[in-house]
Amino acid sequence: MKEVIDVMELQREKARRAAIIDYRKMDFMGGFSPALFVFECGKKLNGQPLTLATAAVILHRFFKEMDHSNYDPYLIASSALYLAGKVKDDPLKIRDIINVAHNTLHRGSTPLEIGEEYWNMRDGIVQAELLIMRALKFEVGTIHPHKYMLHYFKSMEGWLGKDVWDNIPIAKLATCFLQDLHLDPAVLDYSPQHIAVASISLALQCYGVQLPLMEDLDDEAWYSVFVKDLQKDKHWEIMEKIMEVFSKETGH
Amino acid sequence: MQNNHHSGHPNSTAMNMREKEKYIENFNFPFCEEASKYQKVAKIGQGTFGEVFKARDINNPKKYVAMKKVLMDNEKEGFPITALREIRILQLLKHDNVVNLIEICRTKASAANRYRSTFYLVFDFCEHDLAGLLSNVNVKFSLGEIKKVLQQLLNGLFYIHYNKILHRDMKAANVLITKLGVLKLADFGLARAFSTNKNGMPNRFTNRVVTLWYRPPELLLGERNYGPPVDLWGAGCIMAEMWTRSPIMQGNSEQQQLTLISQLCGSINPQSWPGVEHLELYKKMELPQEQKRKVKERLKPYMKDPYAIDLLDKLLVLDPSKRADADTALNHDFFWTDPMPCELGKMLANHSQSMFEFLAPARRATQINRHHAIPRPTTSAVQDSGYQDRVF
Repeated sequence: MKEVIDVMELQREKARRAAIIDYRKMDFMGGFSPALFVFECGKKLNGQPLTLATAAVILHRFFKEMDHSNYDPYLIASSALYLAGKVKDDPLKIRDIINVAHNTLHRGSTPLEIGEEYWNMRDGIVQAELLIMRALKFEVGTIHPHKYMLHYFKSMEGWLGKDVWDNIPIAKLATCFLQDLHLDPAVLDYSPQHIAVASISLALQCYGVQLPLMEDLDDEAWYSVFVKDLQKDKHWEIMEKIMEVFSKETGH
Repeated sequence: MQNNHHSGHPNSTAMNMREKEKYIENFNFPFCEEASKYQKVAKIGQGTFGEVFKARDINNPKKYVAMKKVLMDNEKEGFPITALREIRILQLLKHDNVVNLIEICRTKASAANRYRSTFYLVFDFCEHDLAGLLSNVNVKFSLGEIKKVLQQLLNGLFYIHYNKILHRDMKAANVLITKLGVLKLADFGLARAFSTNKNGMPNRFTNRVVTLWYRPPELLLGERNYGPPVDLWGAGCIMAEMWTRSPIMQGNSEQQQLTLISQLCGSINPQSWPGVEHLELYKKMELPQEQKRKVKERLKPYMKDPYAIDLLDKLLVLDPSKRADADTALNHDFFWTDPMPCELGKMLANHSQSMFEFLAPARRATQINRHHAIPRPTTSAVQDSGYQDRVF
């Protein structure tokens, strides 16, 4: 593997490319995912990728349990970031979260003065954190697909050969796809191993890369060495979910 | 937040204050039940971590639990990261020799608590802790029973270390024993996950952990890149205590603790412990030299069994890299020679009173040679459980 994949750099690159969204105009009930807000704020806060993934999962799980219309999605998103920082031992300061969240919602506005609005927001985040934990049975840790993906990458590097691996950014693209899927509540519906495999499959297809020695085995999928219980249609389904997120995100 | 109002309840603009309060009071959490489902029976512990109570399950009166209150001293920072760590570790660890977390409960939010719930970690109740048992002269352990205690203790440590968790507060008071004689490691308030050096970078853990009397020399010398051996030093201290009946090295400062360790385990220097000279406090602390290692001779009067002494000698090793790990200790002949480890249930059945260190504070003053302390006079709080809780 080409040293390590700099996921932080990927985040920054993406942030530069992303269109500026006015979150206040987005309709959560109409299918917009506040996870995008988690990632945008999380990137600005310099959170670790796994912290942001945790925050997104917490957010999706919360809204799976609770009625959407009852809660401000951006308050819950901010609180999910705060909680995820604690869970992953990558603490995000509450003051920073408030400033970043406020500025992301009200672009171009000056930072909040220490005053009633600031304290209300702070109290809101803290209280929402306790609310989230109670709603999720205090089970706020997640098993990430990332670690499985990393293992698969390690094996694939040898399988594909160093030349192919170093020249075609399969790992980089697969990592992007994995992050994209975290924008969708569907990330909760599949096992971490399956998500990792599907992200890689999609990347392989994008670059038209064939794995050696697999050509003649039509009925056996390339990933069967990694996971035994992933059906073909499910595999497709996850890839489709990723592509859907991708088109939603870019507005096509 | 979006529109500068942040309340987490519906139509907050449409609700007046009174309605909001009612809404919060009556909010239902399907996965986090109310603490009132348990009825407090007695306070059984108190420390930096907060308070621990014994309580009865109202729906199942035969069932007792221990409730540990989550200290929310800094409410502006939300749920304490330390408590969250403890919960996550306890959710991960499921083993017969690790205390079992049943659930987390909350109190109802009301005007009385300014609409802020209190949280409790709820555990299966254990009748005794090892410090309490050892402080009671009427409790006598046979060699087979001591083996059973230590075997379970090491089993628990093996399991948590295998799951990449460090306990970091090993001491007799944190070793619980049920009336049936099953040992449970408890209090994971200082515990944390560890990994063997990520990308060759040494860990930078805090060394301000472990109760002084059970603190290993590497922590006293400022090591921050430590691992499971810190818990095995504590296991060694506890092992000796099974015979001496009180903690073997009762220093009152880090310096004195190091002096006591040197006097028992021999001088700390690069000969006995290669690399020790690189530890941050090696030059700053006074380390008595020319001390001979006396673990065996000092403890022989208490521990007649040669296998026991030999195992202790392998646990109380200065150099953490040479200290026995849990697996090695469990394979030691001590556990595989007669008398074999035997169940504690029968012996404990003679004692119908719960024994906790908290309830027997006199022990802490006892010296190693004066271990015939008279247990405190007691009053009983409850009778019907068959276990009387000593309260003072």
